[in-house]
Amino acid sequence: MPAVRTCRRTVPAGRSVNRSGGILLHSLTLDNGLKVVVEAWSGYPLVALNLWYHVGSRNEMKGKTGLAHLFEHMLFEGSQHVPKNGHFEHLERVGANVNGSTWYDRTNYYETFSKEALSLSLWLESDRMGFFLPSLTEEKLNNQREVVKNERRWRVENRPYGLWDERLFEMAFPPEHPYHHPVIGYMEDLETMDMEDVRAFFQAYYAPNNCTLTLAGGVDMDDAVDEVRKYFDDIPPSELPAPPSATPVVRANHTYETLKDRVKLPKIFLLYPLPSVGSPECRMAEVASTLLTRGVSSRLYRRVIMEYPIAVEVTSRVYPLELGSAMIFILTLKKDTDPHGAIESFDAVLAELSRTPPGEEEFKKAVAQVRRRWLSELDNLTDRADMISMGTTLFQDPSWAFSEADRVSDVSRSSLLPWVHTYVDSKKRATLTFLPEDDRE
Amino acid sequence: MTVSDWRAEAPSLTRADLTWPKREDVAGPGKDISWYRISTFSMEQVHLIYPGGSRFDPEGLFGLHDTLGQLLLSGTKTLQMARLNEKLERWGSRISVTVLQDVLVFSVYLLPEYRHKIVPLVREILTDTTFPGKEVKRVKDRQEALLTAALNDPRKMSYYLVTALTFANTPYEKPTRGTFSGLQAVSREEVRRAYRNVCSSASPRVVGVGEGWEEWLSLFGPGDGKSEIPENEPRFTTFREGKRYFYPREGAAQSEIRMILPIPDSAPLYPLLIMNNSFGGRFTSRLNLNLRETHGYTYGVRTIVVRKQSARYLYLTVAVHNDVTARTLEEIQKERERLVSGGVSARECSESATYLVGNLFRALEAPELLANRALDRIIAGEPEDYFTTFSDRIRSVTAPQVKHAAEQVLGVSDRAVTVVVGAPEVGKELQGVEILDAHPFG
Repeated sequence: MPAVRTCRRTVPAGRSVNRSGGILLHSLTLDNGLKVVVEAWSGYPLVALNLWYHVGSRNEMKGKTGLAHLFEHMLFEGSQHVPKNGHFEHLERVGANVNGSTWYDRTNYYETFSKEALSLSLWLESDRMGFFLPSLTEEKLNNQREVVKNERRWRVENRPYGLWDERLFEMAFPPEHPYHHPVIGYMEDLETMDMEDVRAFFQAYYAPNNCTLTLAGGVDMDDAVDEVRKYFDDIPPSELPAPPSATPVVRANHTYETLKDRVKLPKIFLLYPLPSVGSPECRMAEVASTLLTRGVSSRLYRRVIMEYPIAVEVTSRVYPLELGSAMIFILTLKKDTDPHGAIESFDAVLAELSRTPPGEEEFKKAVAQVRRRWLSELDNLTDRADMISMGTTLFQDPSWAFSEADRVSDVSRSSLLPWVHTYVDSKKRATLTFLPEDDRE
Repeated sequence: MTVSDWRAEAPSLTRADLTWPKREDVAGPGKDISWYRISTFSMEQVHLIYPGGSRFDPEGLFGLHDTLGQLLLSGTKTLQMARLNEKLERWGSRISVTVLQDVLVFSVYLLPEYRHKIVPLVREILTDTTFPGKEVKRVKDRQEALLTAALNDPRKMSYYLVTALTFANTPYEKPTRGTFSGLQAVSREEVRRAYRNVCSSASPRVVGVGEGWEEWLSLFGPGDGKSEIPENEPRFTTFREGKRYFYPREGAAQSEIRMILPIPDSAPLYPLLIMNNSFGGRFTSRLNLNLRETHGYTYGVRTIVVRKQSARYLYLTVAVHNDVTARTLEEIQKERERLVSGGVSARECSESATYLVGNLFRALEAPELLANRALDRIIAGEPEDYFTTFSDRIRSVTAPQVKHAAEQVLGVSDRAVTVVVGAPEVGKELQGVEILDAHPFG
């Protein structure tokens, strides 16, 4: 596939072609609102098909948490012309990788296959987009409800520290915020889901005008567009509900909570709210969190693992979200370490960042690592198609991810300190500490 | 014709010829490079393979080689740890060391434009690492902390227990990370000795995906011995008698079930792979359709054929709600018997073959996937032409051959070792289980 070395952003318009440093993206919108993007290169043996529906857990009502994710499961249960498990059966016959995932802002469905299966994949995706309801049964719903309950037990309840992100988001986002509740939903809500919930959810959100379809890999550009039209043109759009909105979270106070769990090591999670995905502040968060935690030479690693070894691991992640992102730091402490002391060490490193900001070398190092992560994702065909869908859905720019790999190189060191003062403020964060059950606080 | 009539039939597949990329082999005195020269990825992935797996941990020093692996970036004679890692991070590269049971794998994930800087640094790491005492202690402490954390992780415990029980008294018994007593005993001198034995006295086998291997030649000095990854290692032949074990975990919300079924030496590979695929090796496998899609007992069940240098086995993993633990074990047994007695249809055989071919070619998606496949081939001792002949060989497997493979692996009921990690009340309901009260990290 074309390697991503440099890429300049261009603005798509209608049936447009983004040609950027060897990357050629062809985008158009069908009459029913389906956004289609094709990245074609001849001779490549594989194709990635990716659909982003712009619906996620943020669209759920109180008392119906987990519906978006449960629905994702239901969409694999067949459609009018595809029996239960038929979606998997058809694609596994050709050795395809098939899956989907639900997130706060979106639900994606993807498959990667050898190019012989292009028509088959498009047929399957279009059948479940346009003709899902006739196949919906109570038996399927009950079955997948049990599967999802087991998934929750596996991911959350039977896992050390399993409640961490659920509880941390509850602390960080107020109850009325769309990100307050977990994507997988609460067990009591899963129990109450019924056929009408599933039917209404499909009718509201699963429509071509709420979807981006990306094809990347060994396809012919014109043939691919023709095939997409053939299978999707006749699916009517729907009137979409208004998207959820939320005022940016501005925390006035530090929130701190301690939970006991069946674990042996204390662990601390710290969340700082940020502006939305795609913002310069979110981009800076990637660089700053890398500078602080990624790699042996990062500041927090040196402090809490090497110089004053109170931790066994320190990591960070940025959750890039539309209604306000989150930057999270995670410290796994050594046994019997006092978490309050660990938090003081953490705060000391962040304070030092203000007093002794990084020099050119240190900053460039963090930028290089972030850039490498972007290139790595774009090197993987499945992830690449997903990034194209993401850029199209969130920014109306299919080449967004390619450009982002370059934009990060333009992040200015002089912007770091103002960013630190605004967003890395201990008074604005949520802190969740897990202690072993037999420890006193 | 209505709009939806033409949709009633699935479209047929168009023909596509899948060709495995050409591999370049560079062999000679002290050299062994297998390379896929592909320039269309942004990144390159290289694995340097040494015979330094945990199976080589001496008695009483379990965890030695994993500790060595963790310390390989702790600094050289000319570069202290911080500076060494700063350089690597500045060049956007990632070096990781993975110690498996059979081999130590030094992996480099890099941007091609920095290769000329990274390769000399890698050579320095593999010949002149100094292992400062402070770093040895820090890593040992960390290893012990991670072992401690594993005690409360049901997924890790179930894996370590089933492995320890199946491979008792063999080099595969102990966890790769080691044991508490082993880590206590590991000294700086032991680490340095292991380093000399593993890394600095012989050159590695190199597998890679990227623009070219030429610069990696500098890893091989004149007169270097060639790293002999042991091939045709004797397989372990005496396995613990098949049994069920239960390890209680207070308050567990699910039962984590792991099962190992040994594969005899005489079982040919390709029918095995098809048998596994049909049994539990994909979403629409018999096990998953039963346990998940029919009964809703689990989020998913999987089986894989594990190929190590001294053992091949079928490994089953599933997590189920407490209430259905016993029923799950019954259903697994039923599916075993069904496959043994009824075999697979010709169509099922053919579909599994196509799945496996497609699955193999998806390694072309990313450089690290392709490099990992090349690594797995070497560890498993598969022949040089494994990838280029895979499609023909797997498609020529017949249904009777698959049935025979099922008889050899699934049908031998007294050889399956099963471990369940779950709530104590679940253990009381299970028939014929031995309750475990010790962990494998002693």
